[in-house]
Amino acid sequence: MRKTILLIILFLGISHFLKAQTCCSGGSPITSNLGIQEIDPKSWYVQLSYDYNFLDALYSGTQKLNDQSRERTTQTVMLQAIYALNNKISFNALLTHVKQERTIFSGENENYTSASGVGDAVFMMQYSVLSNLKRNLVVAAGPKIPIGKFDATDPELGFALAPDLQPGSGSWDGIVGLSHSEFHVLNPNFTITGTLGYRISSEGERFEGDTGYRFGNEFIASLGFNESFILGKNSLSLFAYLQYRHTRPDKIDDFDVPGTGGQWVNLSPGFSISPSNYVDLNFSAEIPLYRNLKGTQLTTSYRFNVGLAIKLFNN
Amino acid sequence: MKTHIYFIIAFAIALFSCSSGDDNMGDLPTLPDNPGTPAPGIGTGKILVVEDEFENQHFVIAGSKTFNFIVSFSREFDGQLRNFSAVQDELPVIMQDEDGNKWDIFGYATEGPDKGKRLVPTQSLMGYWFSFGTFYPGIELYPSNSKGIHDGKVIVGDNGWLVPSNEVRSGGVGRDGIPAVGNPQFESVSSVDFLENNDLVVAFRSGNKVKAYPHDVLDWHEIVNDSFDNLYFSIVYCPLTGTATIWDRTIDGKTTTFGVSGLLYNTNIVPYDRETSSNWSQLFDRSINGTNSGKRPKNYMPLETTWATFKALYPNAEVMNTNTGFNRSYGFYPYGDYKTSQSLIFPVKYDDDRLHPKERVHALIVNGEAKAYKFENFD
Repeated sequence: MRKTILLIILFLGISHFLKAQTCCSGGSPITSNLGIQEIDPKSWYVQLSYDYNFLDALYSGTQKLNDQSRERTTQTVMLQAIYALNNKISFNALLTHVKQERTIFSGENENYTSASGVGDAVFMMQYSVLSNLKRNLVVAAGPKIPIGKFDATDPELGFALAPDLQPGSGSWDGIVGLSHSEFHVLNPNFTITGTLGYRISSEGERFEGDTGYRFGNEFIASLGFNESFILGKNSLSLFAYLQYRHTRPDKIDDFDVPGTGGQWVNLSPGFSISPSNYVDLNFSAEIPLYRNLKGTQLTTSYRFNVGLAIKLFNN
Repeated sequence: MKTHIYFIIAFAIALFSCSSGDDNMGDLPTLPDNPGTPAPGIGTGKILVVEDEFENQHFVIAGSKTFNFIVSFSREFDGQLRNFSAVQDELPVIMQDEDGNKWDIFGYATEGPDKGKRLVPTQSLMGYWFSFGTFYPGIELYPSNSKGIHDGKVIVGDNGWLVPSNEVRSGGVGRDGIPAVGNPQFESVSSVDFLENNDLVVAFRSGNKVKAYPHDVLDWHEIVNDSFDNLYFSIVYCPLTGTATIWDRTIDGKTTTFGVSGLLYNTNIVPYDRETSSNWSQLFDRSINGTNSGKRPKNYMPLETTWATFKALYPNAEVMNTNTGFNRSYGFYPYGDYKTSQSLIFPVKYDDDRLHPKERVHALIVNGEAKAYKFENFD
């Protein structure tokens, strides 16, 4: 049971890093993946999840502008697999499929653009620094691999779509992070988890190779709690996480791309149900609390994530 | 203890994430002092007049660095070649001719035997140096009349475009992602409180009516579809090239409006007309794709100057205000340090490094050739 709860908690920690490289300032939505999980040696953990991000709030700095002229959605299907080599080392891989949509309202006209395809992938190696009944500490590092489509074009005129509408980023990134949990904090089922993550971007080629585009580096920190309950044969967990996210502006060559970068504080409540030791169903939402954005940007109005996880133990 | 360690790690990461580099200026041309810091004392600046020949035609160029304007007209008037000299302290009058006429900044005779008549404005506009260097490779630079090293006059289009389609790029915002203003609202000069003296405005005169369109608003909308009486026109402004043009929006007898296509050609705005969805190039000055491909817009003379100069010139004019129908951060420049940076964001076909790419110059365009005049020529 402890392992199951641990998995849920850690998944929730991960899910915060699965959310958006630059969801509000454009960019492929899942390059900032920090899969930090600890599972039994020789075991597998496989999760299929769906993330829906709806953006129609236009912000200038901290001020929300009264504007209804455009909407964006990013839908991402993620398949994550973790395999534990032993007590200390495990491998984590994530594949994605992304659909980006944009609608601009101009008078009575709507201008709709979409692009979909395979997104970028993440491969990480995780190391369990500490693991006992009271706490755990896992560090992880790995590349974000640009296998995603980043040459999607406008169907009418054939021009390459902007980087933030592409399913992939076109760049290799480095991701590092750590997750720490304290168990049995207030009661035997209450856990506090904190995570830190950092993504270092590299430059991807754009515009037929004569201009480089680099998404801004990203820092994420989250802190939250999880309370689990036993309901008959099922386990129910309620959780809430406070997340801070900071991104540097994107760059074209040496120039900061207008309307990119900023700071966000979000609250992510959710729940998870485990009908058996092998299956988790989970749901989480994202509620924006504070944004301080560079320039004027469309940013998330709401977001949710649903997932189904299967655990394959070695025995 | 562990908490402290995490805070230290987080702090270190945050520090790293906030580091940034500066432009490496190297030996590249530097940006001259910002011209036009007049008010108060609008009458103390100096106006200079240059008579020049370009492409076998004769022009008079009048300007003032202090007042932050350069305008140009043909010297040919009523079949004669007029000679002009500067007039000081009588703005909006800027020059006079040997027949005793005094001419104002829009080229209207305010006194003299030709009072009420108008000089023929040139096809010219203000803008960043690089934009003329790339649209008019080989551009001459006054007064040395030196030419740029590039030779790229022949433009071969493809895929239904009059220009190389691979040089047309998405700016990222999508069609109408930058919303043109269709119903501009105006207020009197005296009631304007959202402009600083050094803010630039684009002014248009038709008859005795003068309107000003502030860059502060144009930066966010790029196109304003407006009308004077029965004259239907669009202010087209590209923040990336710093160029403003005024196009008649009646095409083949049909009045249309222009919108922002979201495309860029040589990092310059590509408007589209809403009648046919044809795409146009501001600096190539023609439709480059669609039903209207090859058609050229009728241009009206834009006057670009500072708010301080404009309000002194035309205290009874109308000024477009921020009631655009859209909620934007007017007064906040959306492109960071772009005005002074060497960077262009998007690539261009040709570069000409004789001047800083963002130095504002007055470009005279004749027969597809261009000649640039700097503010320091009028200091």
